[in-house]
Amino acid sequence: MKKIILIDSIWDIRSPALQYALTAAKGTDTEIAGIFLASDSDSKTFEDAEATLEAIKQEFAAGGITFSAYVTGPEPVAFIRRIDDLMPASLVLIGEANFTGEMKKGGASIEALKEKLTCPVTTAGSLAGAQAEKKAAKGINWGKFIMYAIGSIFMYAIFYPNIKTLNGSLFMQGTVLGGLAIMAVVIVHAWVWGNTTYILPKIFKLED
Amino acid sequence: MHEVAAEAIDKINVVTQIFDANVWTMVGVVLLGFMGGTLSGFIGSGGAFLMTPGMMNLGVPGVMAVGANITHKFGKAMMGSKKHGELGNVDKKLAVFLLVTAAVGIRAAVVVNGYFFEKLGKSGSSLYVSLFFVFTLSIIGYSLLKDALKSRREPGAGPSEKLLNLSRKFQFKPLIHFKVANVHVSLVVLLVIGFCVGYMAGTIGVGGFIGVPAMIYVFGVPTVVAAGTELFLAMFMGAWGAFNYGMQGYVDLRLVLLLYAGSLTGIYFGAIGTHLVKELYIRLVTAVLIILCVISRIFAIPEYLQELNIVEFSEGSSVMFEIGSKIFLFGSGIVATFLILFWTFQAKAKKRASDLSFSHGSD
Repeated sequence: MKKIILIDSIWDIRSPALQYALTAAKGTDTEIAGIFLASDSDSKTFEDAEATLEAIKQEFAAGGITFSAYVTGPEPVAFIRRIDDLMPASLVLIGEANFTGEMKKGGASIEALKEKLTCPVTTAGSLAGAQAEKKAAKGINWGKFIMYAIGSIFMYAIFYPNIKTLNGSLFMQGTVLGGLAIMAVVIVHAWVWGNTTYILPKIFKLED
Repeated sequence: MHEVAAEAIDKINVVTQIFDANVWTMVGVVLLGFMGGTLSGFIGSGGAFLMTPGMMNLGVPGVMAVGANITHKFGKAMMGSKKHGELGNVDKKLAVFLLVTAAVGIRAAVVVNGYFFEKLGKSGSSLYVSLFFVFTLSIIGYSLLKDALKSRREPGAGPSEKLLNLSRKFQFKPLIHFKVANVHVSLVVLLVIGFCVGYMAGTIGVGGFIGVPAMIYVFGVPTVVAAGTELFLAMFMGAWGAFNYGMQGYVDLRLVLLLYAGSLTGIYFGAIGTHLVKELYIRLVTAVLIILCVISRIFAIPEYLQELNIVEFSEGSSVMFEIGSKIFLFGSGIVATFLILFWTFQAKAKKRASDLSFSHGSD
């Protein structure tokens, strides 16, 4: 069985972090372990948090998802111990977690978790960003690519062999015109060649 | 007049002679570009610390290696800063202030670099660039490694605030407020740092390695804004550097185009790697690679000293120094590039597998 550890300071069934966890867990034999990061260690705060988590637990149970919940105060040691107890997990998902300065100093922060834990650690914000990026990704525009590729072939097959001659008459003459001509070539070439190679990560399936 | 013409012919022919002597040198320049581009995309700035000495190892005079690199940097930064600008990571006011002083620094560097080339020739120019490289980059490499190891011991530890606190003691008036970065910086501190960034960029083609840390550690600028502003700045500094070196006839476009052939291919892979590979790895790779490049330059220095008749070595020793320098530079570059590509493809494969297993059965 897989496990997602969900860390949040505001628990609401409509929150994006919870919805992501819910979507990922549905039908994949995945349990969710929720950590409610309370703003203080007051017993009243803990009681309220536990009541909120109990309501969420019932919602999850209705959807057939195993959910265990824990409340911790803003003490870094207790927080890290809780995470260690819940490991191993397949994913740590962080929602609106307000890590205080003291917690960050004690190693309880998003960056520290990313470095410390072996499983992927991500935030609801970055998942939303990735989704938006995926939506905006246009795939490969072959028409544009062919146009830039033709430009690149011209630069390397026709222009490049003539640079030696042009160096003697223009580029390396040590003149203002030579300096300006070099800059013009660089702007055109970087644009044309940069847009040709832009496609490579997509070809290698590193980008959608 | 006759002397100037003779020297111009020499500058024009030096790259032709290198390429004619060994055709594989061209492949070497493309490979350097690819390694530099991958690293540049991966660590946000730099690549020059590998490309400049790499070209020098292939026989290109120091002043021309820097000229080719700074010209190449101009076009590369132009493509990169477009994206940062769209994301709102650029403090244009800060960039303008730094740019004005950096332009003076670049101009000074071109004059000094040119002086060594004219007076002491190819070896003198290469010796000056190498000594400057070793001095500045050993300090930067050591600081980066120390910071990275600290993060390893104390996960989540932010950048050291020692320099920021020190610079606060030098807050001479007038103080200037930068809205995007949300910092107040003394004009005097700004002028000094800007000049240093420009002088470094103009001397060894490496500006980001002092610009970004200076903005973070001395001015207190957030890391993302520092990287975006540096790239924006690099575009103009690169343009100014390219124009200045070009105006003096030190830029051979063949080197620039060969560097682009590799770098604009590698840069996209490196940039994707930053989203997939842990930040600690990025910082460790940067620090270790800079230190290895410094060691490579240290191995190259005796050869220049011998060419200037300052010291004398046996032929065997010279060959050993030359091979040592090349092994450290190309070896570290190849290993670092391989690691970056390996981690990137590995992380992507893991992510894809995890997405597949989670999406199975999801809505």
